[in-house]
Amino acid sequence: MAACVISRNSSMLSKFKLFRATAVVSTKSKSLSSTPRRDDDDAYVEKRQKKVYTRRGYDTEHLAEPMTAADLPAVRGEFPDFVRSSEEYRWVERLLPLRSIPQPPPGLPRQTPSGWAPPPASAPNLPYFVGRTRTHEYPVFYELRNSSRKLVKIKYVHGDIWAFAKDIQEYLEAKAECPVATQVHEVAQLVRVKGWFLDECKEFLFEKGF
Amino acid sequence: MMFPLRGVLCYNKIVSFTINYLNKISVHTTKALLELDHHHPVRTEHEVPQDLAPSVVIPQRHVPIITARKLAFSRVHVEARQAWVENMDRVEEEKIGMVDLHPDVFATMPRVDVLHENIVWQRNYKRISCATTKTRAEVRGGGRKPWPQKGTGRARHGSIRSPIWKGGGVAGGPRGPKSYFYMLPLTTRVLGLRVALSVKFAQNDLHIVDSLDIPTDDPQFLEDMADARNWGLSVLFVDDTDVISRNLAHALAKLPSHNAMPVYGLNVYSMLKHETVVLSLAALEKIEEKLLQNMHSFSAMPKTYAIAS
Repeated sequence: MAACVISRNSSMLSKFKLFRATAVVSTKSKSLSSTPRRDDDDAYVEKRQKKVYTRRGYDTEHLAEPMTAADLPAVRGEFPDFVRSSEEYRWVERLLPLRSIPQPPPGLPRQTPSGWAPPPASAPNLPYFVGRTRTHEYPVFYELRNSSRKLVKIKYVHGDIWAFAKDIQEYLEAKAECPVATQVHEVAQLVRVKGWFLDECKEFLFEKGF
Repeated sequence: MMFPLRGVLCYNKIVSFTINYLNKISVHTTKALLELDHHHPVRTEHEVPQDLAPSVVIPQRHVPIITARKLAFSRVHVEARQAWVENMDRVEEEKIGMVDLHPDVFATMPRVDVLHENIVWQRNYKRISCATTKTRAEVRGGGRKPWPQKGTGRARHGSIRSPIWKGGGVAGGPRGPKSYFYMLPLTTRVLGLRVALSVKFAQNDLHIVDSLDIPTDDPQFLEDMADARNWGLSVLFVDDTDVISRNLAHALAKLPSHNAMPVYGLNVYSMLKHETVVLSLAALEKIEEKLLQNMHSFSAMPKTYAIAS
């Protein structure tokens, strides 16, 4: 945790003005950092920015003037008091990248405006369960083999994978009105469907409650 | 977060885990944990009186300790696995607790193909083959036509160092140092570790211990322990850092079949080479944290980012 050193000695303060948080980031900037914006961010920024009245109008405090020999303490080795504070570190934390993909918050509706459905809080009452990818999307992917064979792969199928294959085959055959071939790979926990039925597979998973 | 207690020498290992029924107090040594639990002082290695044998100590323990771990990124549909926490201070096995294991790390499908990929990669990516042969141009001599084209009655040749000649150059042979380096995708390597741990756990070859400290530096102790507990001929001890106690270091130095490894050295080849894998609790925490973090991170994160730890 970084520590900011703030001088408390008023005589030193009058000699040289410390660099305050004039480089504070805009509170409206959006970043994917780990620490979310707090409600008191705007008030905090206003409080920290000291408004100075100049000929141009009210202006925020500018950078400190360069230090000269006159600013050094009279007695060598005499230093002003300071306090260690990590209060300003939150501005650094906001900019740091996330270590892991965040989990979706609880209480989201089953259908969001973008069409994305959040993962269920509990498993549906079925002999199988289909997990989500690390970005919380349906694990349904296009596959093109030998530049002509069109398949759709459904991954992360736990439980009775044969029952899942049977159910999805029935669903797709009803929609396509023609036979649909499926391939089960038990060890890799995936099912392949012949034909590019990507949206239909996603709809099937949504209807089942995954 | 692990901080050394005052008075503990640098050789001692520090273990930390959370105890649910003690209101989530995080305890920093097994000694302190036991004192909390049983309210009487426990003698450790450094409090043994001088008249006793120099490196034989038996801490006192009564009831098993149940440790409930909070698993990160828990799955909706899959239950956590459980494993006993065992002891390392006696030859006889003693179950001193039970821990939850994350199913994504210890209960993946036995993907033998992924294990094979990882082992082949581990063997080959370090390989630099220095095999070199000389071509007909590099072999000494052979610049002159040995005999005229016609008239001698012999086969026609242009050089005595052509590949069909004895002593001639090699056609199509190995040429210079060759690297067999390649990198498996990170997800494949992470999956390899998960599958190896799952396979070891499923076959009862994975053991969790509270601490890897042993009471004596005699290698016979480790052999007797492996014999009594059916651990097999080779044992891999995994700790969270690369510092182990003096006794364990001296004992392992004399046993080629038993090895110790920090978490950052954990690999599929070593896990499969040794019959039994023994993890300390701290190592278990670290392994799970790292593997789960990799499973739930943004893929292909650029290394220029410096993530504050």
